[in-house]
Amino acid sequence: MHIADGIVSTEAVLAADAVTVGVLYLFGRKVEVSEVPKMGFMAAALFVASLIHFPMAGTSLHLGLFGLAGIILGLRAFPAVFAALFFQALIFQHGGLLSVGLNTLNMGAGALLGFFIWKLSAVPESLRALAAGFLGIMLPAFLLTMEFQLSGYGRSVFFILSIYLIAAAAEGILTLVVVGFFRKVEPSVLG
Amino acid sequence: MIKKNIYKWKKGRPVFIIFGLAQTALMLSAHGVRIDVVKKIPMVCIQAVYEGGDPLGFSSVSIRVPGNPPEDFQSGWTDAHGRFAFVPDRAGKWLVLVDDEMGHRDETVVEIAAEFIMGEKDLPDAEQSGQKMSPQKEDIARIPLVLRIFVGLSLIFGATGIYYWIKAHKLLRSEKKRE
Repeated sequence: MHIADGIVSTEAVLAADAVTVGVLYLFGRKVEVSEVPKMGFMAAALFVASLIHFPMAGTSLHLGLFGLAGIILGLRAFPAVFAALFFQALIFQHGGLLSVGLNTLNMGAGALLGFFIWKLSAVPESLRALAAGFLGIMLPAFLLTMEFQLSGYGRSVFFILSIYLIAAAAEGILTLVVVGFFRKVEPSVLG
Repeated sequence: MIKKNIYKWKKGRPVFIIFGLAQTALMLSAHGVRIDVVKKIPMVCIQAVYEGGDPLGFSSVSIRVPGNPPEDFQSGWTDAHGRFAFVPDRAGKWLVLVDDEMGHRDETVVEIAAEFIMGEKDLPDAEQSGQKMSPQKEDIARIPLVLRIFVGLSLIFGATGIYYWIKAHKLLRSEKKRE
């Protein structure tokens, strides 16, 4: 899900970086002291989660936890996703350093969608958790394929989305399990 | 005399025609195909893998010839094991680019010696052959994966700690001012 440098045009990547800086300012300002450790732990979890790879249809997929980040951190998930992606690019070359902004926009959008789904209190909690986890992967995957199409790069939209569909289903179940765990052990963690 | 020669040519005409046709067939024969198994050819085989060791199977490969600017030499796909072989025809720095068309791509330079092309010398190990990544990438690749995870987590928690300290410091100052 990480876009490497040189795939999307430099102009588009730089524009995405600029937008990311703006969104980071918007969602990262006036952070309460009590929110900071939670953001740090979630960034660490995101950082490690995407290192857990599993091969699928000739490519390599990994966990995202974007929906879960949205549930736990709300709008603060966006800076946490940025921190995780920045250090991944720096240490593991997952996605290019220049493309960090674009990758943050894609994956941060998944986290924010997870947060908005979680806020739909009329829907049962388990369904919200499942949908947040599932769509937290599918939205970044959709944005990724659109960017590939606009750049004239990559495999077909159907192929990429069908692969991520399986990953998103697994992520939805994982989110459901983790939310269920926190509900029993420490409900205050959930936003 | 002339009549006699004409008679001779006429007599040999079918032979001339057959030879002519045979020659034309040899020159223009493009439909006949033959496949030979070439043994002991100096070739380079690369293998592309993801960070965890899974192969980049069925990924696109682009090989570029050394030159300024480098020109396309060959393109194709890796096999299920992420492998691709090519036969360089000149010495120099060959650029190999592998892309799974899902956002993951990497490139490397394979340095080919003239002796290798002549079949006099084998391709040395990656470290000695000049198969190079970027200097930054090379330095990072040397660090074991577990250590890199540890470094990443340390940086994240370190940054969180600093941010937490700044926030707490500001909060304490504002509370002191209020008092």
